[in-house]
Amino acid sequence: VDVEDFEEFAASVAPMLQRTGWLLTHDRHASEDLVQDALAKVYVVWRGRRRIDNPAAYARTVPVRLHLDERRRRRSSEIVTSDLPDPGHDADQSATIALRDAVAGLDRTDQAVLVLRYYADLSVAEAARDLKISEGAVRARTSRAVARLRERLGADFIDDPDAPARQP
Amino acid sequence: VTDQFRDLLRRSADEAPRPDPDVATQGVTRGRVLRRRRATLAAGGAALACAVTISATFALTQGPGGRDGQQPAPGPAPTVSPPLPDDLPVQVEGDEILVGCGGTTGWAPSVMAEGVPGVVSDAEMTATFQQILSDPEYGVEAELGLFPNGAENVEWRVLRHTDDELTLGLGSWTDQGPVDGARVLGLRREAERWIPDGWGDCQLAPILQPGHTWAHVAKSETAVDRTTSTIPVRVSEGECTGSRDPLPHLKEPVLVEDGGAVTVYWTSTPMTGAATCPGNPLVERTITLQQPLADRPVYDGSVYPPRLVIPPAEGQPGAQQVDLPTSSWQPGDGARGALISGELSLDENGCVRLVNGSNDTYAVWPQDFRAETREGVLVLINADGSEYVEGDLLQAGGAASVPQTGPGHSCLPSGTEVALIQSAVTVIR
Repeated sequence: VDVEDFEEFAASVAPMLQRTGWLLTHDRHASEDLVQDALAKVYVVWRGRRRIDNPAAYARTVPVRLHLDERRRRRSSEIVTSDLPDPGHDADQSATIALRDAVAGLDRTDQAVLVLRYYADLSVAEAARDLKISEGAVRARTSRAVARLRERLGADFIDDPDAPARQP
Repeated sequence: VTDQFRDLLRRSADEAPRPDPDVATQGVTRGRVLRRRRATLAAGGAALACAVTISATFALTQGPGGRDGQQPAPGPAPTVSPPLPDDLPVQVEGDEILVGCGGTTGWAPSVMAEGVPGVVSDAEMTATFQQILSDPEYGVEAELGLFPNGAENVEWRVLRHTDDELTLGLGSWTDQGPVDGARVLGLRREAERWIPDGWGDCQLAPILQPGHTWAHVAKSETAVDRTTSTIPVRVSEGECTGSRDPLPHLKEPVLVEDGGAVTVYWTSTPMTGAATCPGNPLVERTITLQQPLADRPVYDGSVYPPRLVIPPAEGQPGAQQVDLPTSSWQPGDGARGALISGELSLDENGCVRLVNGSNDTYAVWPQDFRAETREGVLVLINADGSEYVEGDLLQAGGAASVPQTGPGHSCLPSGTEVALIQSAVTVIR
């Protein structure tokens, strides 16, 4: 696999990675940092010995793991006050703003579990493998996170996770 | 969970700003650098031997006594201090100020190049590195961040040790600190094994005594009168202080001075409780020397090696100053990690820019960076006096931002993003 292939791949997945980073940080610069770090990491693996069966799916989970990896990242004491304004939207944003605030109040691992399961559409087993926690922990964290979101957002937004799942 | 929640998550994700087109390119570039580092690590031993040779040559040309009797010059900051004052608020071992990557424990700078000998064996450390790499929890991160070339032939040295703790420097280190992405790895002993306690980059600073936190010293807006011993400087607290007025909290500065340089160690009283970090105010203060400043440079001792605040009184004949946009950012401040790179050049208006492919980036450089042209060639000079020359391919960390409204710098394009440099600047080509 040559560099040009990876550059093409990077350009194609960067917006998707940015959206994942945005869900976790709601900060443009922080999410761009996650995108860069994620692409660098995928590149090393891509060009290395390990074979990646589904590079896009693999890449999608990397920002989530990086977001969790406080050990590797220096905690910044800076708060950027010159954030760009959000892009304009005609639609009512109250729901997504409420969700953003509610998710920001969750534990980082809970955020990661929610993003992997309900944005990346991973199964419990897949999320557990990517986060290196047990499947039971994924279920417990999902239940706890959803309960907290229900408290903040109201049951109208989120049904009880213990209720039977909808059949496709 | 309802489909409504999934939809809500997707709508929230769709509100993400479009990534800068350079983000993907810079991610690839960073990956290539990581890969290259993997390839070159095998030659690390030879590189270290070369560095040691250069260091020894430098020491010989300096001669015993360092700068005494010599014209002070920009370049390496003072590492051999005159007799240290008793009221210096730092931890001292022998005649050395202990340094570390934050926290309350550190090591003598003299051990950083070769390490403390005889603490652990190479076989024991190789086995430890292999064990870290094979750990399901952090093996992948360790492969990327610590051991890209595997556990064999890792360049390591012991910086600090107790019975149950080890601090290793990985990669190339000199007595000035880590070089080019070198890392620090903390290990703790658990059931006869060494378990990683944390790892990362290391921004060295002297280890303070309890009851102190660092204040950083910067050059004053007021012109320096070198014939006097009262020198104006600006001071700001280093930790998050919620923008409190630093004046009531600043302690008296402690100066270490000799005929060659002045180093200022300034601390303040630590905050208690939580604090936000909107940016700490700079206040004008003065330092009082034992003798007029004359040609000597002034260094800030809150980082290691000490950072140049006021350069020595000499300049390059024929040099033309270039108006360089700078910020108040200095080492030790909070920093973003976006990769900024480009070839150092001047544009048609005489402004410094970084050229990266077809994109020109205008940067806001850290505090005390300056630029000049010598015989028409652009030279960028950092706070320590190190120089970058036109055509160098530079790399740094930082963030992209649109300059705030109001009177801007003539070399910063209005309304478009510029790069805020918030790290050391390295030459990659």
